[in-house]
Amino acid sequence: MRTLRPAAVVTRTALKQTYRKVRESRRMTAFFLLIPAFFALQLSGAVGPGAYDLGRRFATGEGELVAMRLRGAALSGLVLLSVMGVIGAAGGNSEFKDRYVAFLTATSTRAVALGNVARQTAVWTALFWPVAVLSAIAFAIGAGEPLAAVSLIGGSFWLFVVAGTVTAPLGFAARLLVDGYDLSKNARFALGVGMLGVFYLVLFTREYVSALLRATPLSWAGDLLLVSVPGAGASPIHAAGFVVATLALIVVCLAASVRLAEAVWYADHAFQTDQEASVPVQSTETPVRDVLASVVPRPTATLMTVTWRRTKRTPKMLWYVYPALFVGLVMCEQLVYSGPFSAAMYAPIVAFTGSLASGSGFTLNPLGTEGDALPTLLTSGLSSESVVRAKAYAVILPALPILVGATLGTAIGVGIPFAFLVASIGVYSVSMVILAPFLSLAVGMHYPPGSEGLLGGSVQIPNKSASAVYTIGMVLVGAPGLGAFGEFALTGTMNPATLAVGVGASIGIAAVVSWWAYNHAVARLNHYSVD
Amino acid sequence: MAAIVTERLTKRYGSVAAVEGLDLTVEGGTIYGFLGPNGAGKTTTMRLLTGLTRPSDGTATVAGVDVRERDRLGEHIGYVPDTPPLYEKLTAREQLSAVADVRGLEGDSARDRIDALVDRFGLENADDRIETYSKGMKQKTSVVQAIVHDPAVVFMDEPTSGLDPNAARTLKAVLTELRDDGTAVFLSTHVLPVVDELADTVGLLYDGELLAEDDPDRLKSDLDGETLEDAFVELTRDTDATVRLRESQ
Repeated sequence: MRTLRPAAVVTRTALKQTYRKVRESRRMTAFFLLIPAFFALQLSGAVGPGAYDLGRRFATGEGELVAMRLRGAALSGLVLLSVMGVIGAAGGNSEFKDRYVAFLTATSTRAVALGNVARQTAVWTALFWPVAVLSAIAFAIGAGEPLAAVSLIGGSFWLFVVAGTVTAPLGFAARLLVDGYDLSKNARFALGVGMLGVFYLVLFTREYVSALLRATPLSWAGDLLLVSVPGAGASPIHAAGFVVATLALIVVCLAASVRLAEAVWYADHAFQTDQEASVPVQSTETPVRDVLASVVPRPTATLMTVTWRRTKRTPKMLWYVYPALFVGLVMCEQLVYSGPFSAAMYAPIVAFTGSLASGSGFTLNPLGTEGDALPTLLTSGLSSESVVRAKAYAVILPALPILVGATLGTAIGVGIPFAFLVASIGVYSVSMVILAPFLSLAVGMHYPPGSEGLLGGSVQIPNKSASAVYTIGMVLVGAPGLGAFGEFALTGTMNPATLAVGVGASIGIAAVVSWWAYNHAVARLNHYSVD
Repeated sequence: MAAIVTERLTKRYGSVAAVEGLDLTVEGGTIYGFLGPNGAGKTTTMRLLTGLTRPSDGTATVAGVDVRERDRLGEHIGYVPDTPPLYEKLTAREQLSAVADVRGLEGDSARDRIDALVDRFGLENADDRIETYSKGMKQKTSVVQAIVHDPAVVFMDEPTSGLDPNAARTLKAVLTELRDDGTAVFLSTHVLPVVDELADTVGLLYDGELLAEDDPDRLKSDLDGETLEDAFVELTRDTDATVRLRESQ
């Protein structure tokens, strides 16, 4: 009781904080509602084949096959939840936060750590369990077996609890290692990207993953889900065994979380300020700037290198690159890997979503990312043309060779047989990469930066309208070219006329829009008022 | 029993000593003014004494409890760090209620105590979200949550930071009351007049070491300073003055 009550208070307080944060941010509310709604529609069968259809098939005599599918879904779901749990736990949940001090100096570390784990588990469960509940109900209706919903709902709840709890110590352990090796912010960011990569890998190879795990006791999770589904062949003993074993695992993981939380939260680095941790850099040499200054005016070169340096030291700015990359992965999976298009479609997808991503970082929020240094920039005497060009060059210079190289590499790698087609994809990627920063600068200058302090420090996030207009604009400009490439990827035959019209339209429109966007950004900056 | 006792207390970050061989004794019912320039090790000392970070060497007890036993330490201490440790989406009353609850104060006694402190500190917006507060209001909330359980020792790191003159005066009155009730107040601040006015003893930390410790008046007279600020400046820039002072002590 000496631990449980304070732990409950900590959990309640932290959940209240999280709930209000979500409720008061349209962006977060949308995430918490739309993402589960998207999955619920897909999985339940409201849109396309889903749990309802599985239930129908179950009722019409395909019981064994359907049970197998559900067992597979349970296994891959458990793995996906675990990967997500580790990402969440290693990210924010295990981090020491100043506000914990009030509780850490008031009660035991055990209580605070348990509260932290409970909060993480509650948030994951609240986010995704309703999806499982709706799917379970849809299955039960489709199968005409109301009882089936009982174990599907109860079992899925238990899986969420298990996944949330057992990943907590992994998150603390990951943070301990990351902090212990004093990895830079960029290295941490790269690790996060790597973990997201693992998540997508599991997502796209879920059937293979579940086949691998079918022979292990983890497959008893399927028995737990199916135990009340008549005729599904679930073993109550295996179901009970899964609950008992995971219960023991939860106890062990809670104990481990407490120990690891002590190691993480009271370690020296937890209280070291950035100032204490930073290594002073004495050098005033600027070789990159000097090289750039031989090509562009020195003030422009200076602003470019400062932009890169700020981005390097505030890698969270690049967070806005992720949605575009995610769209790219989904397009690859839905259109090619599981869809009707051939591998030739990968190259234009790389060109399009890579360009989309390249303009989504700091140029979509050109003044907000200046943070407290904005007055310095505005009073520096630099012309608006120089500022806009410098910001655009800062994107184009690294993005152009990377993206064009990746696009052409993919096109050649997947064996596109026509040189004309490969060249078209290359030109298309060049025009899109140039368009992206100019368009994002124009809309980023047009709309004032958002004010939610998600990025920490004085850096502000891009305006939601700017994000929407930029994305729609890129889609509209890129669509004719994508359509032309899509025709080849779908039919396998090259139609030069279609290709020339589609790609030509994208390139032409991109050129016009880039020019307009540059002028608009300059005009907006000329009339910019700090309010 | 002394409220705070440290012997050769040391904290190193790698090869850098943030606190080096600190010997301190602070009695209950006193206000100890803990001074030092930026980076002297004041905040690290506070974190060591509140159990938030582990000593590299030496010993320290607070209210008779070894600072390494942090789970036992909590009931005896209150801590006001330089950054108010608050959940900004909660109201002040919700935050205070949660902290009182984990400290074992419940029901009417907790409510009465919170109400009394809210009135005393003029937290008139106690039912508004903390995110809407000024810096001073957040600081007041942080102070109230540190003393809600009537601790034996209170650690305060720049508690007057951001407070308007009225709130600062209220805080000073509360500190005096706490001292009169037997609480030891360990006060770190750059606002030297506050220390001059309230502290029974002043300790000056420099580069992790305690340079001088005395009551404010004697410190001033030993260093021929009219104010504590004069003494502070003299000590931190003139090593001869430090040597003279140590010899006189």
